[in-house]
Amino acid sequence: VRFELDDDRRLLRESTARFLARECPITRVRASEPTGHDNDLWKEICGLGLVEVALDTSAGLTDLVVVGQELGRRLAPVPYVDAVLAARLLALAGDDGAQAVASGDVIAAVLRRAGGGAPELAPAGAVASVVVGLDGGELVAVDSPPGEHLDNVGSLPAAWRDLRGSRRRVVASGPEARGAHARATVEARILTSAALVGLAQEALRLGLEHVKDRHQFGVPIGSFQTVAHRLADCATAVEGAELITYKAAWSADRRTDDAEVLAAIAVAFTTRAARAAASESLHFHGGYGYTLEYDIQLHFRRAQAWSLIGGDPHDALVEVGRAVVASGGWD
Amino acid sequence: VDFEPSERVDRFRAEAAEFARQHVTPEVRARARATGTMHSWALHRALAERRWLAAAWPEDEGGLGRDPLEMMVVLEELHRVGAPLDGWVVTMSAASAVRAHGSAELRHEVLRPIADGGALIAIGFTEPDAGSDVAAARTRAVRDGDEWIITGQKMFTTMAHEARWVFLLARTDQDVPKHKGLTMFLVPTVSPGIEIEPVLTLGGERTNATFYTDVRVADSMRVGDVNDGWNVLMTSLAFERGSAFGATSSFLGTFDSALRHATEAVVDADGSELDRSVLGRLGEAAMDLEVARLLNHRSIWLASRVTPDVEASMAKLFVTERLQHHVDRLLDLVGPRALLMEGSTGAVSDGELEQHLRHSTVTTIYGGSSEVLRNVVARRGLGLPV
Repeated sequence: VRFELDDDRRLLRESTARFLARECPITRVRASEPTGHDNDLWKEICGLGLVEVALDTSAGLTDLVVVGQELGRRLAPVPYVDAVLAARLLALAGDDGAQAVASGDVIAAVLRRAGGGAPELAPAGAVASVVVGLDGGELVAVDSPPGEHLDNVGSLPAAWRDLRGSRRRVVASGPEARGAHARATVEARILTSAALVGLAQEALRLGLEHVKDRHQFGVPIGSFQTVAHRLADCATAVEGAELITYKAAWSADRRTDDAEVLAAIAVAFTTRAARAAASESLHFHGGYGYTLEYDIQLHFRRAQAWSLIGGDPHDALVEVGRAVVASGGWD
Repeated sequence: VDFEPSERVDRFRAEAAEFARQHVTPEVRARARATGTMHSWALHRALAERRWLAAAWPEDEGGLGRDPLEMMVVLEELHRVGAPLDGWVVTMSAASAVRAHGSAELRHEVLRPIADGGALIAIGFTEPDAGSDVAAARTRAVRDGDEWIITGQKMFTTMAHEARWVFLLARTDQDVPKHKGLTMFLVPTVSPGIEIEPVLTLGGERTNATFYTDVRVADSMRVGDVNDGWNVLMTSLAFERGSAFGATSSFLGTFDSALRHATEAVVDADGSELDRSVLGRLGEAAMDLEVARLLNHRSIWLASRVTPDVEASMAKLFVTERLQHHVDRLLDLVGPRALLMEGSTGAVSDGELEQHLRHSTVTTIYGGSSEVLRNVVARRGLGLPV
């Protein structure tokens, strides 16, 4: 075991962080509201080849998590998760559309629910011109115009999308289609976890910066044990969230038996850690925390949205519970 | 990142699991439960025969040069089957400080019998008025030629009734700041003037209060320099928090066992499909157990290169807080049967679940209370001026 990134991944993390520090300051995040999409930024990110890694479907999740974590940290207003999922689904099925998605020429939305039919609130639905999803036993890609953007608490470019349309192609069918979609569900959870970890780390950093700087009663408020201890709990959970996310990615890359359950654990745990870090940090900002001028509200809103858009996080825990029952415990 | 255990560690785990099956017999467990003494000399000697007691030490000190992760798997496999290991665990935390700070003569006298399984060390830090504020210790040691005369009282001197020495923190200078006037000793438990009184605990473990009245100890039994006891204590605490011997590993064993027993109980009781609420609660416990293990493994992995302080504190804080939370809820899931104690008709896993509930109360206190650990994380991890 090795609980640290190898040199290549560390370089990837550093270069991504440097790029985003320069190109994605919080002013740019604010400027993208309310649609939550910055197409120029997205083109630049794709231009760096950060999504192309996704096309190697045999591996690559750990690299994708490294990038996703940095994008999450900066609240980057780009449809990264959907692009990665779509590129991998299409690449897995040998569909020509994969490259266009990875290069950023085409924006895709992936419907998370298996079954198709009913419209789904797609996080990239308001900007995507292709929708990928499971329709009965078929994995299909439908070219259709972006949906109407709907204002939402997380400033996601969200819209209701479905799999209807005349420009519809079947990219896989039968067990292959279902397998690919199930795999995408696992990957969606891991990538969501990565984004939430980055968000949580930044929210915690903002909170810490504030409580060290803010003086009341003649002392920094971070010197009060209630404040310090609650932040210590947040920091502990965020550390755990990062560990479980990387373990889930590592396991998914290796197709281990427990990869699916670990992805469910990762998303359930990072959801809690990120929401707690954001809401505690906001709280310790005092009255400033709920003014729109301060940034922490941006993290608070997205912590909720990113973790809920894929469905009730409790569903993941129920799945973990099934695994526990099946194996008589958790080894 | 790489979550694959090395082949060496995997092999060692298999060996340890086999050892545990063979030596942690129902009699060993029953005896520990009946007496509250979480130590078995038979098991201890069997560990010594394999040279596992001090396996992390170099070979010329009676060890095998094993790394911290390998030590961890031995402890994990033994804890998993409920082995009583407190004697070993507390001995090693004191022994680590003796190795680091003791004179050559003292190391020679003490460390070999420990590695060979012939002797234990009990811990004597805490006093009635000095718990988390351990530097406030009032037990005094006064120099008298080549000897020291020790007078005072220690609490939670677990294993003192089985140990050859008490690793005792004493005040040797009253006129300096409290951290700077402390000295550490190994006090032989056979010394005249020592009284050992049992203290029974909610979790069923026996600990002791120990009383020292003009106990004479040779200066050769001093560990480290005079008035450098705080430093010696820190070495021991760092070992306890950061290594496989940390309480965290044993608490993970409890967590694992509680989840298993509760799962078995709810599955047995209800042949039909379990509802979302039950599955969600089991899933949540498994989630926290998995994260707790990762935090602990990371801390122990770090221990092979640095002394993990913040990471070890996070691991212990997280596992114990979540253990308490979940044990409480797992009992609820099982229902009133979970209240039944060992031997009662209908008891779940022969009362193990309710034992875990009682035991869980000690976990957020022993080995650094949650509040002390949060201070460590806040101060040294987050840079907060708390």
